[in-house]
Amino acid sequence: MPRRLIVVALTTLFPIALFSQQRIKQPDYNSLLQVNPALQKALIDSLNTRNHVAAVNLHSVAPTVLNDTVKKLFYQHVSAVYGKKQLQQVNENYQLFKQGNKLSGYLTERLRGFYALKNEASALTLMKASAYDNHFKGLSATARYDNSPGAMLKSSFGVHFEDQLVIGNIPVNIVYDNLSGTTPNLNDLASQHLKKISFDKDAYLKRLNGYVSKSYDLNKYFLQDINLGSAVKSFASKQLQDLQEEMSAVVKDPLQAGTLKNLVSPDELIWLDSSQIKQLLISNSALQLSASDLERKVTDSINGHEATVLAAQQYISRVLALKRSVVQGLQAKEMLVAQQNTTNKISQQLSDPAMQQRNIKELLPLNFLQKVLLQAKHLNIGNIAAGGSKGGANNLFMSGAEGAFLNKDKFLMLGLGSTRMGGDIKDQQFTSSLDPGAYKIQFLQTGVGDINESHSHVALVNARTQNKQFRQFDAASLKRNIFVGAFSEQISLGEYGNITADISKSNTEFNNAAVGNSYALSSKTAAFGLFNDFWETFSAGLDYAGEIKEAGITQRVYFSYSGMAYNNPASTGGTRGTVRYGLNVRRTWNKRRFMVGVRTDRQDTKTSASANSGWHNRQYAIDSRWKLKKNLSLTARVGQSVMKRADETGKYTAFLNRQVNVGSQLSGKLFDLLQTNNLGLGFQQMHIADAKSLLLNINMNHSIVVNTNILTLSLFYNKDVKDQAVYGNLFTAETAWSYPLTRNISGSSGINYLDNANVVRQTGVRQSINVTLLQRLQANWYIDIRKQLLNTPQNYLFGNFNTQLSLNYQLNR
Amino acid sequence: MLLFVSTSLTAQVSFIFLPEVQGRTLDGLFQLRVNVPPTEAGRAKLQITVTASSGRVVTITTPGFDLHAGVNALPPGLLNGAAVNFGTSKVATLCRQSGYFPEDDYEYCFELVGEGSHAGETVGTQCFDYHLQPFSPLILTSPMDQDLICDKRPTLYWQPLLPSIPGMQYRLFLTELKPGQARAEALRYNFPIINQQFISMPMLFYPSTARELEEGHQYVWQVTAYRNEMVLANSEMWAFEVKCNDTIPKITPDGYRNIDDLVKGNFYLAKGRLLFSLNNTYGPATLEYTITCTSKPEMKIRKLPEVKLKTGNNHIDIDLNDNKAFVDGYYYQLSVKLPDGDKKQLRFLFKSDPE
Repeated sequence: MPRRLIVVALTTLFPIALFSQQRIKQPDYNSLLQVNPALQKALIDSLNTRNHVAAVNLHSVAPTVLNDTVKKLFYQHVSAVYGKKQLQQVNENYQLFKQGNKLSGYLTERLRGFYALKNEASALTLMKASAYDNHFKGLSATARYDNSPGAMLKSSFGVHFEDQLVIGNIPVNIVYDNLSGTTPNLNDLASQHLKKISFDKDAYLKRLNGYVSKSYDLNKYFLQDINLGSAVKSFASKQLQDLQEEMSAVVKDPLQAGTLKNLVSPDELIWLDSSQIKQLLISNSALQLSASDLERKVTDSINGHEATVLAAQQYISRVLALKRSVVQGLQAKEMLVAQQNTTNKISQQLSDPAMQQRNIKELLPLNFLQKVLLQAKHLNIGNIAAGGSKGGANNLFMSGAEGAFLNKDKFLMLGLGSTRMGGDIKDQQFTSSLDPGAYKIQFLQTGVGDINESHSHVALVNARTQNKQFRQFDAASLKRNIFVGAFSEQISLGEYGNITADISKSNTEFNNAAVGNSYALSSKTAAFGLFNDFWETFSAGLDYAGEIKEAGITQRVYFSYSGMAYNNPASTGGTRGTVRYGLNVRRTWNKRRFMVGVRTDRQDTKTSASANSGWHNRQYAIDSRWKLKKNLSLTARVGQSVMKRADETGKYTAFLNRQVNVGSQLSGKLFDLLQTNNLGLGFQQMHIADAKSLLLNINMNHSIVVNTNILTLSLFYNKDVKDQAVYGNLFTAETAWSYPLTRNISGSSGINYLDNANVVRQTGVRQSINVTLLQRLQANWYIDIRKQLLNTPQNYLFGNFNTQLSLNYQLNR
Repeated sequence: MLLFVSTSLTAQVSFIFLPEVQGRTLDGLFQLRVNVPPTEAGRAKLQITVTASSGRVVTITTPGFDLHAGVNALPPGLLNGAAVNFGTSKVATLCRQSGYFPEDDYEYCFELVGEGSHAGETVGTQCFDYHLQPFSPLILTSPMDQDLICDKRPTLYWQPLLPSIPGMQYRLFLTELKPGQARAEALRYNFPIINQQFISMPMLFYPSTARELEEGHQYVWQVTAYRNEMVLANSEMWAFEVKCNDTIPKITPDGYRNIDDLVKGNFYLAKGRLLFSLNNTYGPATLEYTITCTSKPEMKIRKLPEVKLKTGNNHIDIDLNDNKAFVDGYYYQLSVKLPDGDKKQLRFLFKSDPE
């Protein structure tokens, strides 16, 4: 129990307690423009003067409006690009704006778009012109024959086809594969199709972004060309002038009228705070006002001092309102300046996909599907890999569909399909499995934040077994329903990496089942009993991966627990009854000349419900590389992998593999010829049950460059010093001569010798030829053929004939 | 370890059951085969009861099916109609949630109950005792996941699936992992480079007739433990990349420009090495040259490599990387005395070669 508590504490409390996540906010240009009359005026004035259709209307009152010609052009633009319906909306919004209402968010967006419009060719025309396209990406075919006794496929053929189709500006990638082959025992040919249709998000963004940058000047869209400082000041002085003229007319005393006319200068309006502005009014001797005058109720508003007080009160409230909009304008200026400083250039911002996505959404006339796809991260249909976080669906291969969407930091992933453990061509020999062979699966993952970044997500999986025959593979199993509920949290530590925590809980319900003495059979829905048998079906994990750049260190630490009956058919690599933990640290020094890595992975698997028996797997590795010179490196690696079995009688080692390897890589000139040499030397202890071997491994690879040719010599020698022969004493020697024949043809020829003591001995030749037939078409032929000098039934590995022919037509991606 | 004893045998019907394989999971129980003498052929239903040391774990009752004379496999689809009753012990709970039997001493009892004319009669019954030890995880060892390796014909290692049962072997599958491709997709879509069965040891020498792996390419591999035609366990999918740190540096021929042109340009950026070509109209000789540092003139530059000239056009490659006198961002001047006595001077900026 304490171990479980630690697990829960670690995986739930720690990440939450660490710190709350903060997200960087992008400035919202629309609201910036919406609340700033100063900015509005600058933009509209600029529009009014753009086409030289009218002089600047210096006496227009706030809020500034478009002059008739520009308005007409604006309406034309909206109608052409976004349609009649939108035009109506624009018109309504514009009328409201003209009546003195606030600029609506919708209108702001359209107005900004119009402001940034580059040329007459509208985005819509461009989009219509290239809405449909087809781009053939590649075709390859391979034929292979291998007579190794253990080859799963003796002869096999494969065709791979890739294409990109654009429908309504939506690019879709199509992959089609056909694999067929014969197995050594069954000589009949079996074949399998695989297909995948996927929405190409990158190509989609690139395409739409192209339309945006062709039709709009994005520097203008981001108001980069407005000098906001002077815009605010000219706005302030204009408004102030109007206000002061108006006020001075109200006051009858000419001295007082003159005072009000010149009371506050534009600079004072900008730099003084509200109480200082009030003070200007009070301290002016001509007006004879006291501080309380500005607060009290006016009794007689017609004559004398009372009229002055009223005028002063009106004046101060309007000046303060003006002050507020000026302040907002200046804040906007600060924001724009800060924005320019942090990103340095607007162009950098424009290459950010999130920003591109926003521009596209705001500026292009997209239909419903196009808008939805703008939020899609991926969308795949067919034979696909799928899944999200570890506790939910993860690393899955299925026939079905999956899509992930991200909108305003809200993530949603949905998938459904069927999985199976066999029935593929590559698994032709297998007809059944210990685990249920096939499932129908539906899954969902949703929450805040993108899946590869900081996030808090909930994931759900619903799975049902499938009793089906897939080719030779029979997926018969007792019918059951499995439901998994999971929670995944990722926290970013900035440049120091990420922490991921996963909690998952499964529940399985068999069909026609009962428990104990109850003989009333039922087929329950697993989701309703998600909290049944809690600890047995609970799983949790914590993973930290990161780096410390200054110190050249990369590191990963992980820990996970799973109950003995945890069962998630949508997550491959899921375990039952295990505690896993490990560490992987790598450090480089001296400009990466020296590197040391330490890695350990430990896994304890409990196998018994009551006793402490189980398996204990331990893997350790320390490796290092030392680059002495530009052309000389030394490597060393010590590794050990052990499995221990624990039961009531104690703990004993069931398997051990211990290796010490040293190696060198050297290149340089010898006899005036450039040469490279890789040398490896290793000692290895291998214990399996009672067999205990001590092996010596030598591996050497030497290449010599002779003009444009390369001569290679490879030697491999493996000797069991104790002669326990856990596995064979193997010696191989190979030579190869690689040469260009013509500009388009190159080849390689070699001689091989192989001796696996008392099992097999063979010698033969190897030849490969590469031909560039056309610019994009390549042919490649490989053959390895040998004479058996000795062969025995123990030989399962070494065939004597292997050939492969492939044709590859590839367009640049 | 392979302790299974047939404890009772009635009638002449016999059951063929391998508890070390088929006794591991609920579904495995249905791999059972029944040998029926002609006299006992007819319709019957099967009742399976599994009992652990702590009590009954599960009872499964199938609908009726036809028994033919000879060896019968259970008909496909029989599992669909089966009724399952679990016990209440902890072992039973684990089995109900995972479908797996945990470690224990089990008794597997099979009983065929007649239907039709023999309704209610026991046609055959047989029990098997077995101490079940669940399998260890199947863990890959080397090359480690996401490792960079130098060997183009690597030996692959993993940890064995234990306890070892007679007839168990491994299959290793290795294929290329294309950039951006998911591992699970690579294993299905890509042509195998190795797809080898009958492996009895937890290791595989790279098959000698297979094509070697290519520098800069990524590969994904997975091991399957199986017995005859039955998959027992799959390992995780691991990936590695063949990336040898010291391959021959590739120099494109246009990397060498004539020293006369370089001198005229009066500026040259040396990324770790000086590359230039010069024409030698005289016989083979040693190039006379010196380098001085203009950023720090007091610095002495020693141990410059000897450069031999042959007659005709020479591609000169002077490696400066391992010489401590060359500091990133400093300016230097190369003075060359050509065999014809002509002297050339080339100013250059040194940048250490990014690795």
